Amino acid sequence: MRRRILWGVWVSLWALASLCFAADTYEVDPAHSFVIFRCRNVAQAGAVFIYGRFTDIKGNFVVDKDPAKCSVSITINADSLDTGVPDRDNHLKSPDFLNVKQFPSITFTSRKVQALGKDRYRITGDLTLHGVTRTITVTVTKLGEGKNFKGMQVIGFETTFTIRRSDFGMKGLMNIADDRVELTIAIMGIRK
Amino acid sequence: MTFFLQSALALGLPPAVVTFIGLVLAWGAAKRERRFVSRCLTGFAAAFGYAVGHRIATGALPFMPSSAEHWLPLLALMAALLGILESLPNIPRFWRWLWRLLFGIVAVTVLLLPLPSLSPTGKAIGSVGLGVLMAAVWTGLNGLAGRVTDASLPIALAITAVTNSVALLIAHTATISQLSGVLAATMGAAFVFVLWQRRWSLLGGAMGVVTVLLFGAGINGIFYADLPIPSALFLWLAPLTGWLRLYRSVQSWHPIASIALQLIATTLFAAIGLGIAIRQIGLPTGGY
Repeated sequence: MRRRILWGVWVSLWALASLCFAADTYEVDPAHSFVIFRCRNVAQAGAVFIYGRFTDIKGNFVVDKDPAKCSVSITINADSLDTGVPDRDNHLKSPDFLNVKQFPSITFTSRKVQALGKDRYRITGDLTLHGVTRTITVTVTKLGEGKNFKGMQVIGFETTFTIRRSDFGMKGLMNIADDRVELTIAIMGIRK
Repeated sequence: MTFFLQSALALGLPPAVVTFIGLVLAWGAAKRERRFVSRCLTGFAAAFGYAVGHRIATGALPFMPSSAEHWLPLLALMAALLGILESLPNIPRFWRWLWRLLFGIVAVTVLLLPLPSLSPTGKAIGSVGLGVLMAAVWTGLNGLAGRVTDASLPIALAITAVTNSVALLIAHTATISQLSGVLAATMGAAFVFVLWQRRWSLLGGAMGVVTVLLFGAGINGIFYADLPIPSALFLWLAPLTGWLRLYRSVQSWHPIASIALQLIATTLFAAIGLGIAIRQIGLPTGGY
């Protein structure tokens, strides 16, 4: 009888521990997530950066104490690009650059997550842009986590990195827009 | 303005030079009574000239196309290869029609295939409809090249290609606009060659290349940018207005008057195409 009770306690504790330390899955909150880019405008003598954002972001990520069990998957609607000038937006969406009618989505899927220190991670994953998939490595900072004012568990991360658009098949019009594009991705997730 | 002129020169001069050299080689073959070889060479002159311009404009000349506009140099080369068949003597008209039709359908299909938003049925209807139209325009231009032996046809084609280029720029795609500009540069080279040697009839071998590039740019503009379909239709049909010169009553006109009629009609058709694009999209704000 005593052995049975001990066994029951052990199983209960194990179940509780599993629950406490289970990986949390978060869904990207589009209202509090941002994908911002900037690119030097060569046609304006390189005197200015063009800033823009993608307003339609979806995805989810898994957060675990063990970085090896963490993962992230984000999908950006390329057609949601907004730089504040409709003509420029249409041009950036055209076959000259993103070609959104042929390549409507930009995706990032992680392959490996490593912890770098307190709240800093190195994520290696596949970025698919303009129909070309390349493996990139970015450094991500955790901005914070906890319960929001609605009582929902949230967590937020941010990263800034630079890509070369020519690496993704966008090789034309280098005399208008620079090859290097800096991206800032700031996502907040709500625990499912 | 200097920026645009420099860009136009950097983009237009190399393809024009390559096309001109190709035409000189074709002329050399024609002088030796190798008419078949010379007709084949004219197609390759236009195709290689275009490929050089395509490489400059897009920064790439891929053998494995990953987007619709990457197909254009390959389609031009295929049209030049078909030009060899076209140049063979005593081929029945039915066979010429058949391979132009098949080529038109295949060309439009490969341009529409990468489009995820168009259903398979839509792609099939588009491919057949536009393929038939492309074959018809090719046949029309081929017939015109055999009958109108002065420099008016290369000018008409250059006017069409330049107007197409402007319409595509309005439709928010500078790259496809540049590619149409490259076609205009190759036709400009053909014009200079004809002024020099007066052997335009040789250039019938290039009509397949010109047609597929004109349609290729238009189809890219319609399905991947914002070019209105009616605008593209007017631009595709514009060079065929040269057939007006072959009306019996016009044939009796002074040559300059009939050339003027052809060029005015071509310009008018092209202008209507451009006007439709401006009306539906609006003029670019520029300076962004």
